[in-house]
Amino acid sequence: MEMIAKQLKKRKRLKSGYLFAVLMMALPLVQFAVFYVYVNFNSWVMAFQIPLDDEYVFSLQNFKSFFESLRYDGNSQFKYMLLNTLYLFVAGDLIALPLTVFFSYLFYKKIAGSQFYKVILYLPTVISIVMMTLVFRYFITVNGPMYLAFDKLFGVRLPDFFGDSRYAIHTIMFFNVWSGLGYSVILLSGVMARFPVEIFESLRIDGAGYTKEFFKVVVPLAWPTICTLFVLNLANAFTNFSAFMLFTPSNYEIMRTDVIGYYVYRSAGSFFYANQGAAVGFIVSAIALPIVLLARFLLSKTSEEVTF
Amino acid sequence: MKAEPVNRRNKTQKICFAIFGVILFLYALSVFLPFAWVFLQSFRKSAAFYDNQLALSGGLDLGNYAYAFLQMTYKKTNFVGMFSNNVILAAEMTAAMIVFPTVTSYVISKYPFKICKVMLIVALAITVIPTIGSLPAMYKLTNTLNMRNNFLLIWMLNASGFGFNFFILYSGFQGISWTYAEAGKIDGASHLRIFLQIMLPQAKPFLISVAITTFITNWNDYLTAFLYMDKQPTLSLGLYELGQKLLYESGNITPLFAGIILSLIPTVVLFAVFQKAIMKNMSVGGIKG
Repeated sequence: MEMIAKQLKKRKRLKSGYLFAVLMMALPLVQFAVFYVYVNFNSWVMAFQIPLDDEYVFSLQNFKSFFESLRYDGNSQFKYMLLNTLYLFVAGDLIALPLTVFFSYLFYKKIAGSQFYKVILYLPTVISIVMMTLVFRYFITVNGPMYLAFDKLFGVRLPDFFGDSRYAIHTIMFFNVWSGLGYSVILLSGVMARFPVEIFESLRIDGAGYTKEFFKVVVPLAWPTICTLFVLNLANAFTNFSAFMLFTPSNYEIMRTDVIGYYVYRSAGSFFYANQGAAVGFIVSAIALPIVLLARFLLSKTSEEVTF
Repeated sequence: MKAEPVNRRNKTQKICFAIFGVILFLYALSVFLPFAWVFLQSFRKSAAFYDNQLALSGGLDLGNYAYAFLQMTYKKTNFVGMFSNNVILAAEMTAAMIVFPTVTSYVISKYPFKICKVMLIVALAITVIPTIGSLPAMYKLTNTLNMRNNFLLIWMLNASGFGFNFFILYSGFQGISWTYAEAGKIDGASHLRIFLQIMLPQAKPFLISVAITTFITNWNDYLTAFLYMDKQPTLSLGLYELGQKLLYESGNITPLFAGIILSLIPTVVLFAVFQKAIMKNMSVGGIKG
């Protein structure tokens, strides 16, 4: 008798808990349904539509023009977009990431001035990227302070890093690596600070140098975080466009420094190009999803071998 | 006696670390120098600045700051207007980005219903799937719902209960014991009361640190203003447009420097005051993935 009462009471409590959970989740779920599910679904629908007079009709035209532009022999916008996305991946994962690991190691070894450097590294992460790009651009512009200083001190005339199409894309990539280092170094050195000390001490008794310590201990121990950063950078290559947009003058004919994210952004507010933008997003998502998933899968396999 | 193996280096290692130190110093200098230069030049009169950008001659004055404050406008909105727009937008976005994930992470971590487990999987899946082409559809929706340039509605965009903050708060709530809630239940407290009066106070430390970083992110966010709030410009949008005008059509650029410095004050102050919480938050939030 008592047990039944207890069970009834428990069921009642569970029921009231269920009601509470549902009521609490209602608004977030509605928000999710509208701003994630509906928006993404509608984005796919838009990819298969083109504007005609005042309405939208079903068409594969958006996809056709994308692939035709790729097949075109000369320079085409979409070609540059894809190449620059690849460049962004290389800059993020093959240049910035090794630098991140190396800098983090220096912090881990408590190189002189670590605390001071850490505060400086934080600057790019707390300062708005709009301000970063404004300051950076003026600082290296022709007749700007760096240009004048190089002219005065070394008699060297620096090139126009943004105006000259030979340098523009490399300048933007440099900015991305330069301004992005701080965040990942802080993150990774935070992880390294939690390494167990005993391993290093036993290694030192064996007489191992820094090189051995770095490759045999530090990198393997930090591997899961390095993998996470790798996947983040990879996904970032498909979506990041801040620096590309902010460095491009508004009235400028953009082509060589275009990336996918920026193209989709520009198309968003336009009646004629919004659907083309959605289609490009659709295609690139279809390319990006398997790559990102595969990278995650492969890296998770390698990081499982590390145990500590 | 305990030796300090970390700092004891032999000769080769010392030379290597000296070289690495120089590299690190150059990098730090390259980050610090442009901002220091902009800060110093923001106090110079325009004529003196264009005469010699590498010096500090001509005396310091606050004219640029007065000009930035009163005269600098972007489409009829002056600096004060942009600043207050920024405060409003950052505050409401931060509120949305804290309240919604707090609710979802609390329910999902503390209520063992099947549907909660499903939602956790959904939240994880979202972080993996890249959504590249959804901006046009989002823009269209904000037009339909009349959200553009509307401070009362625009926060809904960021009110996701399943984003980045969800995972930080989720692990936070998982670390809070349910024992007190059980005691509250015996005393007859409702689920809502347990949430508000027993669990939330315990979550306060990590909620505050997440709120600070979220506010800084929102203060610096430019995309919302660029896409949806062009008639209510924030500092990012306003200074960007002014920068475009002044850099490419040439003009009096020193007030823009003053504007940049003024717009950096809130984040720099927040960072200086809450440095420890921010640093901790970053290294904790980052290891998930």
